[in-house]
Amino acid sequence: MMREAMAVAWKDFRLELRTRERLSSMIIFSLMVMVSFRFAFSFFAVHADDPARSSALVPPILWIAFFFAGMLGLAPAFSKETDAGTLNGLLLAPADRFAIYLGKLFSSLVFIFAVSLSSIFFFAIFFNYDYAGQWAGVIGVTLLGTLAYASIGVTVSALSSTAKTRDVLLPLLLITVTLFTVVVPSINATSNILTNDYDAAMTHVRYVIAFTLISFVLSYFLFDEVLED
Amino acid sequence: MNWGKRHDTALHVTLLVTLLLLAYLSAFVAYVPSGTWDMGSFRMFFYHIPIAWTAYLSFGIVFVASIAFLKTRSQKWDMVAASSAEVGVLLTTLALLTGALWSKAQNGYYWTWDDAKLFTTFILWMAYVAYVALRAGIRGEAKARLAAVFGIISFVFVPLSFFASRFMTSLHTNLTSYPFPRENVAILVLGVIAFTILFASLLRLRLGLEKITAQVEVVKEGMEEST
Repeated sequence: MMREAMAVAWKDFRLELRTRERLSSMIIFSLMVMVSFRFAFSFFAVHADDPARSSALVPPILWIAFFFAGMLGLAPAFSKETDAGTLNGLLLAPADRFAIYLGKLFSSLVFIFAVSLSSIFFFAIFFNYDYAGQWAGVIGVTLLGTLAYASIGVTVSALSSTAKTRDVLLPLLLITVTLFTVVVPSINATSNILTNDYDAAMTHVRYVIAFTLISFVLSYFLFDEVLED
Repeated sequence: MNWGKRHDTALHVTLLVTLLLLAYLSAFVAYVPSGTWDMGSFRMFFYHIPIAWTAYLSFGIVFVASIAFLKTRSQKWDMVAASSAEVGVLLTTLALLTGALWSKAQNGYYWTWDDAKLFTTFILWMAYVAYVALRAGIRGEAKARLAAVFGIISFVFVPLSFFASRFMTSLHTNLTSYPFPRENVAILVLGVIAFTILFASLLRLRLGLEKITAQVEVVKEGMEEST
């Protein structure tokens, strides 16, 4: 199973190496989000000499950037295959459907996490912010949150890829499914980490982990049905 | 389902009687405590809770029908899921509205994000609005299958909303401190019965519409073939 999953993921990486359109558009997008937020919040006068103020801005701005960049990352996971007519080839491969899910999950997660890291970096530059000792915690929550996000996002992306209105449908489905189960707890956990409240952060992290497990179970049972032809 | 007109009439008469009885009892017989409770708006209790219960029931039916569709591939189950989801969205909207009005009278605001039950119910509402949108966006035979998948995924939010007040802070947590003399319990039970019948008749109407739509599709295809 893992071998087939890695083959699917590897195929996506190779395609990305040749076209470079998915990652580059996501990174430029996250850069634009950071710049827009910096202008929108300019009245805050965010500066290094007032770190408490910027700390309050970190989690929501980062997660809005992750969320929308992640959406850009998930959309082509299946719509590209449907458009190019390669989905049938993928389905004919002698592999379990869940292996396709895992492969797509891994490749999407790598893209989304890479872009999230770049967002964290852009935030530090444009908001003149110093993560100080907390950068490891912030990145840890980001990895966990993007995993949870992608774990249900891949299934939702596959679900909406054949719809006529998929450009509207994917954001709609993703927002409903992930906003309160992944994004809000991750924002809370990040806030708690920035204020050194690790116990409170753990309750939110547990919530995200529980949802990740649920979405794995759902995808395990339902992914067959999504891709059936 | 061979029901016949007579059963339909009986259903609608029962519905009318129970709803009128509920209106009378909640207005004149229910025990309304003085003090912390707002006298008039407390009566919302007898509508708000039955409506919320039928909303959960309808999404439970979507869940069961979705699983049944994936197992049997029978269009009948898809129709049940589609109809129940739409009625459920209507009922959830009503639950949110009655709750908001009650809260305005009791607490002075329509909406708060501090109430776990409220925001989880709001997500529930969004999830089934998305379900309806998904159905509208897909054509052909894939529609029923993909809708069934999302019908199962979105059911995750039902227990989340149902148990919200037990594991998070909520205005709804103090439900046990509500005044529960015997007459109030009886009226609440009547309310649940009334709104369950309302749900059943709405579901039947919506299912009938679904069946007629399917027949129209068949006729249309026949006409296209003959021309």
